Amino acid sequence: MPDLTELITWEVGFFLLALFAIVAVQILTGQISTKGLLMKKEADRSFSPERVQLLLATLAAAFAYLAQVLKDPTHFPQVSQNWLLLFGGSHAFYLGRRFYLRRPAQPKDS
Amino acid sequence: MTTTPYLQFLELLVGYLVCGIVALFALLVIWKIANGTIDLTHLLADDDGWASTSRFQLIIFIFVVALSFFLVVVSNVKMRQNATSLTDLTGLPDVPGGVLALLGISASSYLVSRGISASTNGDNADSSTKDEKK
Repeated sequence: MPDLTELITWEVGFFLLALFAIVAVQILTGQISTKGLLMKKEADRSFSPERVQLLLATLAAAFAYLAQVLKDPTHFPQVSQNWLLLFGGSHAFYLGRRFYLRRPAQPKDS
Repeated sequence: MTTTPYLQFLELLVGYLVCGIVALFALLVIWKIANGTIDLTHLLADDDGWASTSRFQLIIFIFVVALSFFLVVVSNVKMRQNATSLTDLTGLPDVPGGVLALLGISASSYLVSRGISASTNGDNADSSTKDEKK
């Protein structure tokens, strides 16, 4: 009979990986809709650079952190100030741009 | 405090039972997601049906932090099993402030983004109502 802690480890590991795999596969096959992920929600629905930079910053921060954890999983690694600034700045830019674009256009004087 | 073999057996039995019930629930959820009963089509979509970048980044971070937490806990359990002294390996691992800050930024960005979307939709609804009245 397997040890209880080993059983729980396998159980949680399987659940997390299966959930991650299902979501990843459904995104890649288009079952989870990604329509307009990098498009502006406002006005003309054109390509949105602020969304691209947010996505890149998120992926970079996520991979960097996961790599640190995999390197030494005995404790949570500290997040450096630079990563926090980069991440915070990226989000601030994204939200600032969204807020700016949502303002109604000023009527032109004829 | 000493425990009798009977209590130890009962403790182990309850442990396996709870583990089995949780495993059943987990399998059920995974199975229902896989066969489409739990529909994830709009997991990333906003109210207008278009995918939301803020939602996507929040999902990525939740997965990363969950996986990290799992790896750290497993590593601590292994260390605990091998250690002779258990003084600094009890309980759940501490989550540093930096990780909480990352999750906080991610989640608040999602919330603010939702607020902006809601207010934009509200403005559009107001203007269409005014147009109808005219």
